[in-house]
Amino acid sequence: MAGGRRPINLEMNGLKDNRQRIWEVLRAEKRDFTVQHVAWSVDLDLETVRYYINALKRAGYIETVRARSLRGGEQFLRLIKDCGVEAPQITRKGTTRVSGLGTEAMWRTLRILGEISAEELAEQASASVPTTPKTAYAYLLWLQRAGYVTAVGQSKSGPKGKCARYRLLPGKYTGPKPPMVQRNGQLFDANLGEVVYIHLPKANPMEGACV
Amino acid sequence: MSVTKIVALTNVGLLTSAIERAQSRPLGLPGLIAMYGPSGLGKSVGAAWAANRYRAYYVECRDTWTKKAFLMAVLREMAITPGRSMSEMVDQVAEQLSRSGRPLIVDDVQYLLDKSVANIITDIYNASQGTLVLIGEERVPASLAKLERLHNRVLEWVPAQPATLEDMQTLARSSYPELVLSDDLLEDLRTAVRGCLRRVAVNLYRIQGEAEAIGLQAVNLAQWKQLGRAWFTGEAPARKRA
Repeated sequence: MAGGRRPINLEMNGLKDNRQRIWEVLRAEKRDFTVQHVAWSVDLDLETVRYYINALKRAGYIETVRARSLRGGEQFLRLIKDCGVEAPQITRKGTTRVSGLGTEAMWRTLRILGEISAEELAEQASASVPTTPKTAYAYLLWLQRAGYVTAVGQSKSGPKGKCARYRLLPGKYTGPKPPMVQRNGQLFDANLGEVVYIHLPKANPMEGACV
Repeated sequence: MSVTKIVALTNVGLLTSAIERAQSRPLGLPGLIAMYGPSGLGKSVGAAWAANRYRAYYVECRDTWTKKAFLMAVLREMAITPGRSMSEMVDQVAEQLSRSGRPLIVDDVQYLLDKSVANIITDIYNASQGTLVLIGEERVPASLAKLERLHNRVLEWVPAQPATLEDMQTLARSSYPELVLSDDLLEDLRTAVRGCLRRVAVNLYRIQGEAEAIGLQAVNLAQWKQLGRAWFTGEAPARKRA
């Protein structure tokens, strides 16, 4: 797409990852395209783009236009299945990627029900993908550290206060994308596009830098 | 895994299977589902479960919402930057619904139905032909009846059911696994709160507190009566006469 702003309805707001950016280019493209062409538009590495486009091809979102091919052997491609603004979450082999769905379900449940225990949260999220109470508890703890939820009615019984109920604080529903726990000990909120909490190792578990 | 606990609740099952049928309906059938019933019967728990199961978009309406506020809220859920005009926004919502195939759950819809916002729901449905789930209080069917264009697009009516004994057993087991409650106690509670699941939860919490205080593992009706505690039914206590 040459210059100018893309039509607003094709865009997803919040922070975009590479796949989202590639997907938006594909959706906006009215003509057939090549991997090269997409890589230029999003200003990404050719291999990054090819990786995702191959996955999309395997999942049946994209097809090769057989009639045309460039001298260099670059194939022309065409988007044949458009599933909306959100980039398809698929694996390299083109199957649905389930990682992240559990976190998404937990975040959605917190927003709908407001107050919940780790066990109930795990059950609710299991409607999407199997989630253990341990996972739910860990996620709630991260949200609590970052000031998204507060523990109410801390129970004396139960292991490590796991029977406590947690409440999503008013105004802390930042958007539909779940805050993500990153491996380097940070909580990242994709709705705001910023790191909201950095966990300092070996410090008191409830203390840390709230960004 | 204890997946069976929440899904075992009557209203969760009713809503989920209704959405299941709507999602797999043959071409040409309407796709609106209306669930209605007094507050506290577990409609939102059902909505949360169904939203997770079908990755649905979920909005909870407020009394003050205008057409624009409603559209902005739905677009926010979809993470789409709203267009400039309302008709553009309706198109955005409808396009995303039909392309993604995800249902839209509109909770507390009674706030919208008596206002002109209701027509927006009709517009969205017509443009998307997606699955729309309207959840609200008892007067929802009556309000919908006045909106003929929306009313005849309802595929299924799902009245929320008062809690059954099985629901209460499920809830008690999942909330307080160590506590054994007799069926006569639960039945007495069910009649007292008229099947309101939220008040069941409040009372279960009271039973658990009392049982913990005196060290009981199992409670039956006779023991509870002996403690002289009344059920919490939501009615303010009557003034005691001197």
